Amino acid sequence: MGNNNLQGPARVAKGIIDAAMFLANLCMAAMLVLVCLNVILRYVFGQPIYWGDEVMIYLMVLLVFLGFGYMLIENRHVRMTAIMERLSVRTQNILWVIISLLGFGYFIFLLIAGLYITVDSFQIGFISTITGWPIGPWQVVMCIGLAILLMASGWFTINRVRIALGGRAEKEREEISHV
Amino acid sequence: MTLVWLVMLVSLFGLLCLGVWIGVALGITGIIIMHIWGGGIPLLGGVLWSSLNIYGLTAVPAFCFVGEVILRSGLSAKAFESISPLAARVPGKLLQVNIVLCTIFAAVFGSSTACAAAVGSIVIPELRQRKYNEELILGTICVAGTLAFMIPPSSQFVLYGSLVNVSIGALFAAGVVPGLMMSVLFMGYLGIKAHYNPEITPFEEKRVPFKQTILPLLKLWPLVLIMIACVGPIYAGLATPTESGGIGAIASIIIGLLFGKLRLKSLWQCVTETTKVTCMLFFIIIGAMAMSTAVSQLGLPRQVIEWIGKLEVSPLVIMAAIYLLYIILGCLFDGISMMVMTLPFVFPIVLHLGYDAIWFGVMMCLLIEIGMVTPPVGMNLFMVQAVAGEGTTIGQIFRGSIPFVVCSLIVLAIITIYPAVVTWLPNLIVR
Repeated sequence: MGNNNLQGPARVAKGIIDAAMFLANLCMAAMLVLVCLNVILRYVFGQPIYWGDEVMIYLMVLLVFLGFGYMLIENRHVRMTAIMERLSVRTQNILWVIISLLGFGYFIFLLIAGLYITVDSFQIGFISTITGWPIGPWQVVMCIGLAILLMASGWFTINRVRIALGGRAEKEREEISHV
Repeated sequence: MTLVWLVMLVSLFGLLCLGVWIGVALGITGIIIMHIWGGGIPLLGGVLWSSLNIYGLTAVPAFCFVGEVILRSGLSAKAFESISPLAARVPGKLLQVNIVLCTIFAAVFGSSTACAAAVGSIVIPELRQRKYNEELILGTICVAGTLAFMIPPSSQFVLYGSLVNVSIGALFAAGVVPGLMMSVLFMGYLGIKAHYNPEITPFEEKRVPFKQTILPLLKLWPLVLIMIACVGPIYAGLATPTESGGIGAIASIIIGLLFGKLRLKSLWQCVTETTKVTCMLFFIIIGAMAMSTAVSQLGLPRQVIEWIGKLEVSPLVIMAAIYLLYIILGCLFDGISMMVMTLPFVFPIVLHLGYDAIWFGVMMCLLIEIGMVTPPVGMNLFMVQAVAGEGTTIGQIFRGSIPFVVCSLIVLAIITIYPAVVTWLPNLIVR
């Protein structure tokens, strides 16, 4: 971020995205602890936590949405690069702007859809079939995650526009996933 | 209906070729179809929540975590020391260790790149020092690493089972025989190659008395224990895959701390890496679910089935076309993307042709394995290149992998002609 005007907001955005990723990691840790704890309680003491499986699913959903933004700015999401990397740096930079804008548009739709289903859940009063807990609050966190993703996408797009305008070569860090 | 197909294919492949993130390309295609032909935001909202709200999917992070813990435990070095004396006695010598180690690690890892990284980081420097054939060192690691997809616990099987609602335990059981078959075939090829081209292995490899080659194998017990913890409860019908992942996690942490190099603070690193892998995976799944829901609403898979029904060709020919499609897609996409992108169309066709869902799951994973080692997009090629260090080219790794890819295609043909190779074990112990 070379532009001084952007440094302040960018730092705040980065802080929020990092905090969301930290929360995602906490959710992952909690989920893994819950899996292990429930195994011990079920097979050693014969009394598992009845809400364990359900909370595990919700934690997984939350950690995924909270981590999306971080993964985006780290450029760790998978894409097909076979064609793009054969193009000139200038063309690649222009394509990156288009890709970022398309992503931004997609995330707007996701956020609207997330808000729609959350409002719906509160209005109808959706509850879980196993525990009877309301689903709405979990969906609120999902929406927060999507809002952070949208913010990360905005930041990513601005960065890409700046790179394209400056014509700066950007060495792509290709992801090697554990998949 | 032709217009729907046109919009879908142009949008999807256009975006993918442009280099858009795969999850976004799939999602945008789904949204376009939903908005033109009905569904819209309410349908997308439903997809957003329900696509991840699946209990079976919780096994994916659990098995990924087990892999991360083992990777940081340093157990691969111990395993290499245990197996190498015995391997030095057979044709192919220590090159055979690559296959055996990857087979053993496949039974504790859910991921092929992690498997290749764990084995490669130990074996590649050692075999280079002993002057083994470079291409074969790289090729064996690259291809044998993909056994992690076939030999349980496999994250690919968990995903497939969750997406098409098939027993993950049955899939785990189904992968065992083909996985071992591939392993034996790889070793057989290496043995024959070493017999006719002895220069691929060094002549001065030290040979120890037979008794001394057996005793070190006992040092493999930590891995065997983790292996049993990960899949034993599923086969015994005692636990769900997620619970087995939990049992595996407990076992790997205890063993890693007591008998490996694992430290408590590196557990947090394991958690963060697992989070990243999970986020990356589920980002694609959400997009794929959006597209699959949209096309299912319009009845496109049914249309494909009707079209294929009118073709007067045998099911084998259609399956061959599907294999070809996957091999081509495997060169361009990673395994997960390929699976979630094609399942809504291909799975109903396969069932319509009368093939078993478990059998097809194994076939798909085998095709994904092949895709992992075919350029330009072969994740294992990249991983082995990263582990092998500077000066190693993708071409070098791929040339070393080609004979093993042929072996995989032979297994593919055997399983297609004799589906019982896949289905008898799940029929015996799970169903």
